[in-house]
Amino acid sequence: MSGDVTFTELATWFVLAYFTLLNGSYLALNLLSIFALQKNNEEKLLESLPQVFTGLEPGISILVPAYNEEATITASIRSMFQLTYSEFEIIVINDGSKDKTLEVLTREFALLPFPDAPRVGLETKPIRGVYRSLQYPNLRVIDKQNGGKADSLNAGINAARHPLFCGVDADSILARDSLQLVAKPFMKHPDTVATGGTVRVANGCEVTDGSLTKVGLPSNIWALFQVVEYLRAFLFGRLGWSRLNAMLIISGAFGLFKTDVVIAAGGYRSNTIGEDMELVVRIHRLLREKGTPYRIEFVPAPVCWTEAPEDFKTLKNQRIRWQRGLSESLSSNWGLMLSRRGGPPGWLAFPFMVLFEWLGPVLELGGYFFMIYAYAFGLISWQAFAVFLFMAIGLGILLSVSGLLLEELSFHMYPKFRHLAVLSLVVVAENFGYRQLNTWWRLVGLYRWAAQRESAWGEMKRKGVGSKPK
Amino acid sequence: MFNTFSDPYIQFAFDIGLAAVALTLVLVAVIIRLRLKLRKSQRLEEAFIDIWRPILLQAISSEVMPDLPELPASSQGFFLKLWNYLQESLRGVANERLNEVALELGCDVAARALLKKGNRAERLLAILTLAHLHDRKSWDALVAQANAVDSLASIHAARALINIDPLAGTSLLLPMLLQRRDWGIAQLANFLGAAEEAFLLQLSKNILQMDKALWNRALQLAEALHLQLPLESMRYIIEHCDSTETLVTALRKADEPALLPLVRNYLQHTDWRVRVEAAGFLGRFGDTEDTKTLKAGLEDAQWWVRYAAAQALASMPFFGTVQLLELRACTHNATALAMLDHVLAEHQVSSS
Repeated sequence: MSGDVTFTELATWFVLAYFTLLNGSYLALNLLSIFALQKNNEEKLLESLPQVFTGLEPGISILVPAYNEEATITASIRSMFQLTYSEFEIIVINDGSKDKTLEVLTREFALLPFPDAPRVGLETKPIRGVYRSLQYPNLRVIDKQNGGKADSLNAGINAARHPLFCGVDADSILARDSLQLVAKPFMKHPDTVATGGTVRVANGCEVTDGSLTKVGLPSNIWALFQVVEYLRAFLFGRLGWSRLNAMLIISGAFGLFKTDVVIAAGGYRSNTIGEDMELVVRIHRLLREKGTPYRIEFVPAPVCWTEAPEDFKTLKNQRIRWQRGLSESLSSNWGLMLSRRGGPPGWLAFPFMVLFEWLGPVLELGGYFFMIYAYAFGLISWQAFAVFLFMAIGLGILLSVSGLLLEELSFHMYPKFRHLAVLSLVVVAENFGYRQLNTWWRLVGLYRWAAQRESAWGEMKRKGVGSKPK
Repeated sequence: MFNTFSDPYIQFAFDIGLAAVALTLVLVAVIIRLRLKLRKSQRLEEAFIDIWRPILLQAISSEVMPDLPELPASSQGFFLKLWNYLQESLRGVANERLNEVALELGCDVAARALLKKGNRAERLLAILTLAHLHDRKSWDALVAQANAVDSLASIHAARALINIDPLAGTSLLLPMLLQRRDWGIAQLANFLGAAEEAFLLQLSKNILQMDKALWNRALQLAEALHLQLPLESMRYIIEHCDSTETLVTALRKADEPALLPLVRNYLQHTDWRVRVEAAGFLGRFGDTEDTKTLKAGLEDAQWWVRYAAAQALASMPFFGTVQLLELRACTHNATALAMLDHVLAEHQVSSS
């Protein structure tokens, strides 16, 4: 056996082993999620009963960072007033918008300047003014110099008056009972420090006055792919890790945190893109280092709907940003990796993220390129090449279908058989190009992180989901 | 070079791919089956509700029990869900009427059987049902459920026991009510309200004998239920508790002016959370001599203490807006000034 052949054999085994391990790990998470959803289903009866507020629920400060949101901010805030929860306040943080966000807010909500006594728990860019609504006593607006989303959230945390805060994107559509659902773990388990809920794609849905009125599927193919991706990411990615108290990501679009824990952890890092993930990983690291008992829980109920990008360029930029955020979150909390007190986050979730999510693009694309190279240069036969593709795509489809199964086991948000048929086609189709493209974008993100480019607000081309789809 | 399927690499990859395809087909079949099953179940439930909802509403509103159709065993689950929903939505006589209907249909027997042999979802349904029916015959089975590790089943079983016999229930459950941290205070307050006298009796009798570590939760429950604990118990707890959390809860709960001399000492406590609660107490029960210490609190390093001190001053009956404005005029400390402006503006907003 020549040296070349030995190398090819080794590399082939490595590629096969990596793909099998990657998909096997996801399937293991899937199994954990099935158990969690089953437990959740058993409790559905209790959820369906009339809910009574006792007034003992912990108060929540909803923080809404806004940058150039003049078109959507009014509807978003109005829909937030419809949330069913006993005690909450809304704090909009205008992050030096260049458009008329502040003017629109002032006009629509009758804002007046308020002499808010400054509370500087976390360092932020200077505050230019604080406003209070005459119509809504629980609405405040903070106007500050531009500093990015993380900086805005920190300014909001400083102003928050409640023990819990919830960071939401200005364009998020929240389910009416979303606060009630994500706050439940805090009431059941006093050790809970953060919770996150499922985020779904709003494209194709009907939205009236900022509230989701009918669930549908988008006609745009990019958005359709993302519907399946979100199912996979939330229903078995996060739910599976949550079962092990090892969830490292809570979506920036909607997450609930204990205010004092976040202040003690130093708040959001303003020099990072993935501030949402970085904060959660840091909380894990710090609390584990101190040996403080805590829980970070995922609530599988769909609580937040977000508009997904529908054009190639925005989607590409979003995925590149996400990968950079992941890289920053992991690299700045390396101390958690296999640490003595790391527990499931340090010994399972962190290594998983490093191997499959962070380095995944390099290894996955490397695997594809290696097989193409080996076939082109006659190191492997066409049968071997075809079988490799058969395995990689077969496992990919299996994973996507399992995401669909979890949805069917739990929430049935897509009620029609037509929805099911379309989603079934998409879970197959996404494995022929879209997933590989995504891996490429992640690789670009990894490169850009290594090149250390500056972070900024992600620009999103919005079509708007506020009207019925044509 | 790998040429044929006899190579172990190719065979391995092929087997994995084949297994993936086979599993995918199985999952697709499961998804379709689940969807069909769900559709059928929804149709049956809707049809059931169309018949039974008017009957139950008639039973609630009329003096005479309506003729009840036969309840097939296959529809028992639908009935109990609908019945429990109405029970949770209504109060008073309506609950009793619904109980009469359930007893007429033998739901007590069915619920006992579900509690004994049902799966977890059925057990939860049975516990809820037996709680509404005040079913004494299930006492022992419910005690076993209340002791279970399952948070949800156990807390609902506790509720059932207290519904059935408030005095015996609170007496039996007191240690668990205080020890089980997986039973949320808000949830407990929801159903302990119906047995608050019995609970207060048990709590007052036992609070000073119990482990100090349980005081905080005992006080939280008393606070949630707005129960007034004996003055001497409160004084003893404040003086002898060895955790800051307990002290904070005790000061927040303290509602006797007689505690004023004791609470005054805590405005200089090292933990700012204690200072906040002490300021709050002085705002509720303090006298003119306390305004001096509260004014000093306006310069505290902690924002929340400054806020509590300013709020306390503003809430004192003898210290109105005029006095606050006077105080503002003679205050030179910037943080104290900012806080006075803040609270003055808040009062202006709330009174406008």
